[in-house]
Amino acid sequence: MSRGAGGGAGSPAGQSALRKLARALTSTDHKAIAKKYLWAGLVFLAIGGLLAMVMRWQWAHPGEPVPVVGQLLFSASGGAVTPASYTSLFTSHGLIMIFFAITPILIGAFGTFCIPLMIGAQNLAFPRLGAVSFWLFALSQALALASLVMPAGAPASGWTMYPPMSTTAADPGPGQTVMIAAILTTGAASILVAINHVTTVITQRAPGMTWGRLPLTVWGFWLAAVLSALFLPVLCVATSLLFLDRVADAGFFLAGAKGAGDPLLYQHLFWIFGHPEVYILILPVWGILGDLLAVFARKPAFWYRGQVGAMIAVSSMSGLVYGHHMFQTGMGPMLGGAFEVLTLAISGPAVVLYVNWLCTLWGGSIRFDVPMLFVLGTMFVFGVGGLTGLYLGAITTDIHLHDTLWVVGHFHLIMAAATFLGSFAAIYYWFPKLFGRALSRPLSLVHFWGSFVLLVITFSLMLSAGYEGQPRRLYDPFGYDFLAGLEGINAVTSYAAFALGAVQIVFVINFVGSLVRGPAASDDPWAATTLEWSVPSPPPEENFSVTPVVRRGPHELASPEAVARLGRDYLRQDEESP
Amino acid sequence: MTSGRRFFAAAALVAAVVSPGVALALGPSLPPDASAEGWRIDRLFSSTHVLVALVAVVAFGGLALALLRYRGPRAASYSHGTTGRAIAWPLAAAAFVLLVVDGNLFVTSTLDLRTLTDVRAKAEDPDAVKIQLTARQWSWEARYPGPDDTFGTAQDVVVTDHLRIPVGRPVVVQLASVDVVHALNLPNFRVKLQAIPGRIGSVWFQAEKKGRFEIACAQHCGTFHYKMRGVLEVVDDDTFEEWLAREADDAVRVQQERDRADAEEAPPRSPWPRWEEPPEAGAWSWEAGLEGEGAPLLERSSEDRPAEGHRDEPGGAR
Repeated sequence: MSRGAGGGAGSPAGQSALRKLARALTSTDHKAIAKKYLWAGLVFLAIGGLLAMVMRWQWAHPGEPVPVVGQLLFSASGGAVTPASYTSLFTSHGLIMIFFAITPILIGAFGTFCIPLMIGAQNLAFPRLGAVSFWLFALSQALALASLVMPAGAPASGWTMYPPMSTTAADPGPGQTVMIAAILTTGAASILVAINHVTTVITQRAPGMTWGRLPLTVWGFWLAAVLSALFLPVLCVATSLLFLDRVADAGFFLAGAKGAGDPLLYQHLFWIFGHPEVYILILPVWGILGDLLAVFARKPAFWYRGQVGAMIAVSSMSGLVYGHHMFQTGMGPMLGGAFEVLTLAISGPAVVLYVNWLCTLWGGSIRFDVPMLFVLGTMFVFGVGGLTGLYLGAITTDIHLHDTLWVVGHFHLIMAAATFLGSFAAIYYWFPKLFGRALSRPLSLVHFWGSFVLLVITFSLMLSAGYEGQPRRLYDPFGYDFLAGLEGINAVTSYAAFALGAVQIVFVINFVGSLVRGPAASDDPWAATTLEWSVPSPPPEENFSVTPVVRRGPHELASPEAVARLGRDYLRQDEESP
Repeated sequence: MTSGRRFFAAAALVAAVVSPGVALALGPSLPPDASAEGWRIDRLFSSTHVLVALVAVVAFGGLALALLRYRGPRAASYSHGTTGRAIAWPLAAAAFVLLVVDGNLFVTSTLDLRTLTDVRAKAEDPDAVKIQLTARQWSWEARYPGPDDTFGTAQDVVVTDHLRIPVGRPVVVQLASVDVVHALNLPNFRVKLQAIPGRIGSVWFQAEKKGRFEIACAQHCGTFHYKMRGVLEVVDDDTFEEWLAREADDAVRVQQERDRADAEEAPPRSPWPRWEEPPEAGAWSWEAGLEGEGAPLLERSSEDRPAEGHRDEPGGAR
């Protein structure tokens, strides 16, 4: 089976396999690093998903033993989730998904893989830094796992880790401390990745690859990297202070009798990072959507400058809206009003993006390939997620919805459904380029329809329960009279989530099976226009044997020139005009 | 595509598109509103539902239409969407959402907030019932002034997890926490406010319906967060005043008995003044929270912190 030119000459097994492994582990090739990020992210995606399902079991059958994994995880309580372990479940689910699953898949894997290939570069600007970032990230994953099995329990203060809950005043065990160390480490790793990605796009573009010709995917990754470089240091500050509170009794976040600090200060620091983090994770997806819609509608992306401008506008505003996470802290009406205006204003560029995508489809020749299905699914869940966010942007409607399952449903539609489907759009689109093999279409279709439908059902039912007032993070919500009628909807939501988990098995079979025995992929299976499709699948170590010269923008599709002269509908960015 | 697969795909698409609509339109309803001003929030929900439904129909209807009409293979149009007429579409859509949907949300909520956050005016209302509410892991402790209408006297009435308020009178709550961050959540009164250690929050509401309602904690506060449930009983004014007077009498009686017992047990003649216990930390006085204007602003909070205002007044009845 042809694996392209990059595979290296075949040599006898044994010692050569060891050498191969050593080379893979120390490789500074951005493609090898990206694959490691992909594996690391997918494994943690599975862990985070399992934690979510155990949590959902508790809401469908409160206090009953969890099937399959219950005896293993909660042997002391006969397999049932206890109140204490429940708090650790949602804490570790949130932290693992955001920092150790979505971030590595989107930014670690696809940012690192796509940026050099799409701008015509041989590698990242700092190849060794790329490798160091990955291993630092792997260390943070190890720390996160270790925190879950510490004596006196896993961290239990929620993924936001608000003090005093997260200080030794409320949780003296080492689990929380180790998890804070994991977040600090992953924050440092992400800053290094961000510096690398920002610099690569600025300095490593091929001749002719002007900023106005960058694929939208690269714009998305670049803006996400800029935001990471700006705001992850704030997360590191917040968690460092928290760390000092725990190990050195510094008292930054303890008030009243316990210290001269202020717990609210942490909320500010956390959300100054926390809100841009949403855009750090969704910007790459927006960029990918812009490019893939053009490729699969066989039509130039609609108003390229508008899409780039909208992404820049959202990035610029991302640090100015965080206050809506704190509307119900007793924030003064003036300050709250300012945050409200800025928050609602973000819907402007978001609508521009959505309508641009819609207009890209309009008049196209739409091909429903698997990546396109994921792209369209992403568009839909992003739309629902955005619309349900409006209610949270206004202070008074937020009074009712704050800290309910409405919030959980809303941000899962964006952070889980949209980034999940967007990540899978990327996986299905670039899998042939990453591994030189093709995935099975029937299995991919089952995975798409199952994931899409079940994601929408799961999170819309959560919106519904939240609208009825169900607060989030309740071990047993049904102790409240006003929630007693919600047992049915919670059970249905849980079973939709279980089915969603089960559908992912189809993906694992497809992914692993295709890696082992999938048919060889062609160099350009989608008839796409960007530079990565000009090189073999998988690309050789140096990516481009000859540095490409870029002659046009990234979306020269439905091109009359190409149709007339070449009998096909597109021109790649580096092709000479026929 | 075979017809079977097409049917499956279409059915799945319909299910996915319809389910949020059904879930949001038919399924849920807001908890019954028992407050005087909650209608403002419910009204903003209703008008936003209409506008959001309109946007959703255009956005998702447009998507469905595009997918049906422009299925390939066909000749795609070579257009980069850069003409003035083309970019009018996204700009017009953004303008509609910004001006109409967001405008309605911002203007309505800002106007409503003037009433909803006007704690100062309500606190000055002689009719107002004032409550100092202390959140702790995992209970709500409420302190009412007795008939002397003064906090920190022997007449103070202190109850845990079962609050009584009169119907038709404003209730002004000052909220504090002695351990971690909690959030007061009265779903039937459209009230939600974080209780943050080291500062005092304030909020007001007024009950319009009698009955038993629930107090929930909205902010994750530890293992038994889900058990931090209280009862808010709305009774008529006379019942409330009778109850308050009875409880205050009881508090005074208990205090007098304790004083008498102390006096009997005290060593007869000591050269020393009575041993003063250091003041209990982490508590606060009513006045501390009402300095400045309205609800405590974030910027003001440094004044609220420890030094003077946060020590319990000695002599308060417990």
